[in-house]
Amino acid sequence: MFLKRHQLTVQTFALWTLPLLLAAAVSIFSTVSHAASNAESAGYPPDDADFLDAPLPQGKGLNSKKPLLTILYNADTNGELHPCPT
Amino acid sequence: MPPADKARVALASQNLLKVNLGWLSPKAAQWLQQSVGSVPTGFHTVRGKPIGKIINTKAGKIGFILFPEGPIPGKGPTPEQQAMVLAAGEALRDKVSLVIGISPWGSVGETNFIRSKKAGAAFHCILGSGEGIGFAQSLIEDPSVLWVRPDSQGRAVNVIELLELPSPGAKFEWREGVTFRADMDFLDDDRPEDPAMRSLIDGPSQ
Repeated sequence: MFLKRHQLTVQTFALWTLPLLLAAAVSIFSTVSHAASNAESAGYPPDDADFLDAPLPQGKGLNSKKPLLTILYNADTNGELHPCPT
Repeated sequence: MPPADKARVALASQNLLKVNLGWLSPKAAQWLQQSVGSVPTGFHTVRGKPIGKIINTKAGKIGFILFPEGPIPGKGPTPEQQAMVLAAGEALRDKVSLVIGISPWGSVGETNFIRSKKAGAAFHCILGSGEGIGFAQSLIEDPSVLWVRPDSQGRAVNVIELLELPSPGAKFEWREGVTFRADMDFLDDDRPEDPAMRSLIDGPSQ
């Protein structure tokens, strides 16, 4: 499951890291996606093993409780031209 | 890259991501419609009244309210817009497990909205955007409203893990590490590229 999330971030990275100057035209471009236990509704089969083994970003890492719901959120908001992130 | 190619890549890449829900500014929607005749699948443009969407998950029904853009894009709303959004969120509150607002109102507009204490009666989470800095989470204004903001240039993915969901009608406060975890996953150069996305961006002539 995390692999799917990883895929999502990779794809987002590939898009936004190129100097497309996309944000010049797209003033606000927000996306929200959910995964974890609801992965099936997103078209992904659940895979707990992947989820647990992958190097998940774990917030502050206060516990290892499995989330009920994971939300991935990305937005390009300021409309400025920008090249690759550093 | 020519403008038409930018639009083509924007449309195709967002479709490839298969997001569950997207907020598209009127300006962006117009640009895409004029350039490539379509907007990405799952994206909505709010014109006037807020849009409500419910997504069924194994964790329960999750309600989303897509906020309308303020008079100045990226900045705060009018009082009327704020009232409409609150009413829309409150109307969803009894129908879903969680109500999440997607806001383009900027950090100042969102601060004022959450600080009013009215937001907590309608929304459990606010996913912000517009002017201002990004952060993984904030509960400063109201511990019943989990406030998340993206990196201003889209260089990170906010990852929000909900460990508990509110019980209907019960008082609920977010507690980091107990009821939720939140982080920003920065998309730095260590991250390998996705070949499908690279191919899409490079286009057939590359």
